[in-house]
Amino acid sequence: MAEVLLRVDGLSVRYGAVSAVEEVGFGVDGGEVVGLVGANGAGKSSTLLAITGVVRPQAGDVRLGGESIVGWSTERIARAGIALVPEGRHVFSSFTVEENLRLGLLGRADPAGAEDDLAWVRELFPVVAERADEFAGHLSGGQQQMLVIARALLSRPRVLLLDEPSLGLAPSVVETVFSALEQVRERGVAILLVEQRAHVAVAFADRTHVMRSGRLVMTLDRGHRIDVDEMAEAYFG
Amino acid sequence: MIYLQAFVDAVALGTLFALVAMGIGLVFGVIRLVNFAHGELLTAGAYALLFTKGMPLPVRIVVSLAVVVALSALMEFIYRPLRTVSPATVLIATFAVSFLLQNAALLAFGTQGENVEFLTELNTAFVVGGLRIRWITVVGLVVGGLTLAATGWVLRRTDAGLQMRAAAADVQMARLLGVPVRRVVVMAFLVAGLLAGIVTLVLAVQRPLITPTFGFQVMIPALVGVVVGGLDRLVPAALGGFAVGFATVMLSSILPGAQRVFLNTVLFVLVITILLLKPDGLFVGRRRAVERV
Repeated sequence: MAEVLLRVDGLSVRYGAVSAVEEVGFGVDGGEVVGLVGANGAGKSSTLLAITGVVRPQAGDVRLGGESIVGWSTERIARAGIALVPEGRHVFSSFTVEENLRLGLLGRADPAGAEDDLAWVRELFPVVAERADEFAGHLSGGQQQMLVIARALLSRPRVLLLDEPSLGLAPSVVETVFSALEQVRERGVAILLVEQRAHVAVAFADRTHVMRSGRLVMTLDRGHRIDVDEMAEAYFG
Repeated sequence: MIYLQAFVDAVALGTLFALVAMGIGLVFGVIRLVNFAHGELLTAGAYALLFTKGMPLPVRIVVSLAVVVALSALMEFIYRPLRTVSPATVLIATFAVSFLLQNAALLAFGTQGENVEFLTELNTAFVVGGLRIRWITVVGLVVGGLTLAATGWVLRRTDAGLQMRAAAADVQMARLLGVPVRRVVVMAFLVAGLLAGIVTLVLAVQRPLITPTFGFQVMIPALVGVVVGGLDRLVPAALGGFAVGFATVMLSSILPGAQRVFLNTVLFVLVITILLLKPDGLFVGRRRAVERV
């Protein structure tokens, strides 16, 4: 039986005495979008950091295409095909837009098809072509978000991890970003979408897991109509 | 006229200090480590020139450069287990390496020093418009300028340079983009070594007496320059190194003869004033908040 593309099993993350993630398990298959929502501090970002090898999990397993990647260095995991767009955007602000994109291209395991991908992200986000020679730090917040997603896509990820991509963006920009992500999904890239705003995730993801105090407490199907009381219960217990 | 003469010499020394500063800044940028033993790279290169005295010029140059680059790579290897300890510990460790090497040289070669006799003919001067200019000043300017330009080109235009700058700007994000940080660190030490090796060649002509503190005497003012310019950005660091080298020569010509003993006093008063007014460095714009994942 073919394995799920990204499989997280019994994952636990602890910072000293503080437990951030407890026995979390879920899977993301190719072309699938899985949402992860929850209140601030529920353990969403820690889950992403454990998957990308930035923090070492205390227990559990993360498998990419059937192979365990726990203990791998962050750069090795990136080259294996997991791209994280971290919260807070993280463009290289003193680099030009073009240089930021080049860094994405350098992260590819396979240089073939780089030109096609470059053309594709320029079509997805025309701003990265229009402002190629400007410093990334001079872009607006929304444009920076588009740039980091474009940069992540150029590394040709099998799984794209997005940490709060809608944070601090105007509604129209959020719309632009998500319609681009829709095309990313159509290309077959698996997406794990972390959001604090549940309705954004539920509207976009095939299914959305709700996290509270480090555990998955509920799973919502796509388009599930969110009831305020139900959500409050899931978020705050 | 005397000031114009000093100006030429000041630019020449400034260029050399800029190269040393760039080497220190390059390594600091990538792994946040101030390598106090950077000066000993120069010393090692100078002793290599001394030991190859009498051999053909290309051999002496290649051996000297190779020794410096190899020692720089060795230093990277020595500092490697210290990646996870506190910055203060690392700083002390680089002090230790510096003093160890200096004292090893002291035990082996003594304090007297020896004349390296390297390209001595470049110390002859020519006169242009009343200015006496030594050939090594011209050579130093050209070599230094070209080296700075080449380093800048590598950092701006090549993939390796881009990755080095990325690791310097935000190492966590660089890792997430698959930048092989370990390789980048080795590369930074190799480039810093090459820069130090080139400085050694020019300096050995200008100051042919090779002693165990040959490099240390240059490293200290260059390091001051790095701090004045801005520790975590390469161009400001290089400019800072240039400024200190430039100021040293200019001050020594401006100060009346008897007051020259106060050269360092005046220089450091200037440095302290600058750091009080602009703690992030003279050539760094307003500091952006340091972002980390």
